[in-house]
Amino acid sequence: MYSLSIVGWITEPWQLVFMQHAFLAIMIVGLVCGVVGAFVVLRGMAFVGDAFAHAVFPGIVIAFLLGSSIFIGALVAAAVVSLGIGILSQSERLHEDTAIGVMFAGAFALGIALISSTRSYSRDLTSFQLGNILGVSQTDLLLTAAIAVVVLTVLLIFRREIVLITFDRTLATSLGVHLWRYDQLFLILLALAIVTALQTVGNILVLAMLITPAATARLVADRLPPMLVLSAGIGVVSGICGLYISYYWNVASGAAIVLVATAIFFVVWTFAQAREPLRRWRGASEALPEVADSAMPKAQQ
Amino acid sequence: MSTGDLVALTDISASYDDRVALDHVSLTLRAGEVVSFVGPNGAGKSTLLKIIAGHVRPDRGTITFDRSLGSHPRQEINYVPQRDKLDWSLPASVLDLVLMGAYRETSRWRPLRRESSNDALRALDVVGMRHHADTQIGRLSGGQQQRVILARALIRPAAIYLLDEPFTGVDAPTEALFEQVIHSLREDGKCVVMATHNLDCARDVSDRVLVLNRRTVALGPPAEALTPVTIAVAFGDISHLHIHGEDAHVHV
Repeated sequence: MYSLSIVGWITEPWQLVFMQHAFLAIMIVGLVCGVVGAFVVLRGMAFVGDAFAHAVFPGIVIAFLLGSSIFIGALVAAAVVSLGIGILSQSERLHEDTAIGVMFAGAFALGIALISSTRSYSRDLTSFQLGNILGVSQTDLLLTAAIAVVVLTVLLIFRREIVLITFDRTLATSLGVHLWRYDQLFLILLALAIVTALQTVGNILVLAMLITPAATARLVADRLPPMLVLSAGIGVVSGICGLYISYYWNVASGAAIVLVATAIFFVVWTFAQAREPLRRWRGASEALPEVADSAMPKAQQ
Repeated sequence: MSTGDLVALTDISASYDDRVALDHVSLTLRAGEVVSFVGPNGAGKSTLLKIIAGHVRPDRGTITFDRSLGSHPRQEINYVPQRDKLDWSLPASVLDLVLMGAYRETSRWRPLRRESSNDALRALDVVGMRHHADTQIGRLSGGQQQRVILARALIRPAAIYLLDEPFTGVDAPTEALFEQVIHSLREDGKCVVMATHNLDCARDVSDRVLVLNRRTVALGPPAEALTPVTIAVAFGDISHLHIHGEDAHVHV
């Protein structure tokens, strides 16, 4: 059926402008979600990621009904929800996950209520939920790239604070890092990462772009920098491979991308499981001495 | 506050929900001294450290910092939490973890590893962990974890060091090492405050001991504060103690 050479097979989709846009968009999304997702995984915030992805839904619907940019709609919704979660979880009686549950279910229901009042209910709902990667316009692409630059730049500038609130919140407090402020900043970055992925994979599968590549990277990386690079790399590769599968085998693109990421996860997980006994055995043979070898250290300089 | 006093805690009370954690505790901390808080679980030792560090707000009482600590006195405090407060499964090397202690000391525009690696390695040297700088933190034993979080506090110069249960789960050589580090901090004119269950260590290293059970049971030099009577009062169990009628200073 495809008697093209491998090079032809690879380059064919790139002849089409909408596919070029799709490839570029998914690479940006893979990169941004991979990096932000690494922190989401380390902080155990998968539920927050899922909640956010759903909570931006009414913003998209309202923007759609008003005929304005869904990016803006999603951003406003994310800001409102993030602030709502922040305020509700200040209450000592409510855990943060409870506050998130209340906000996200309510917001999602509002989105469905709004869109169900329009005529093309089911078609529009599906395109919002599953994304429409082949419909990425040049403007969408530029906007996605701009959001990506903002997210990565802010992460780079505030990397120490974000790393501190991820790794050791007690130390963060000791060093004068304002936890609430940086938690909110991170939620905004998370919301932005989700927004970049809405059009490409849709708001149901965006969680996979955040969690799966980062979880895969976590299985093999022992330090944060390699984890970030691997997570972003797996996100980008899953996006590209998923798009090829979608192009040649006519599978829904969002699903194909997520399935590739999931497959990579399971392959790496299998290897990691197999490596573990070996590692443990090696670890035992070069056991870390409990006491510093030279016994007493030199006095502090 | 008199000369040499760094922090004065006056009539501090604190509670978690309905449970009283501290009840009218007063204490002064001075430069160049080691003060230990001893008492049973739930006696308020950690809470008192956290109040000094600014992590917990007391319900009542005042904390006064000496002017020598500058306009942001809490920046002059290094708080070393209990090691189980950290998630040791996170992806970081020993060096990464120690460098986090230097986050405030270097410009955010410069790579931390280039700026502070030497300081971090020196701090690791002090606790005998330099050769494990590249080890993944998840592979450390309990005693090694304790050494690493102490190194992380040593990388950042401060006037006051607050150590929460530094001797828990460490072996005898590590204990001796920590005592040595605490001594050298005191010689450098630092104030070291620690919460501990280990009465022997408290006796060995401290200039003063605060025996605590939500209220002050005794406060003074180890020989005066740590008597069988005060220990029995604080721990509420005298069955294992042999009281020989020492002249204890008990305030209950």
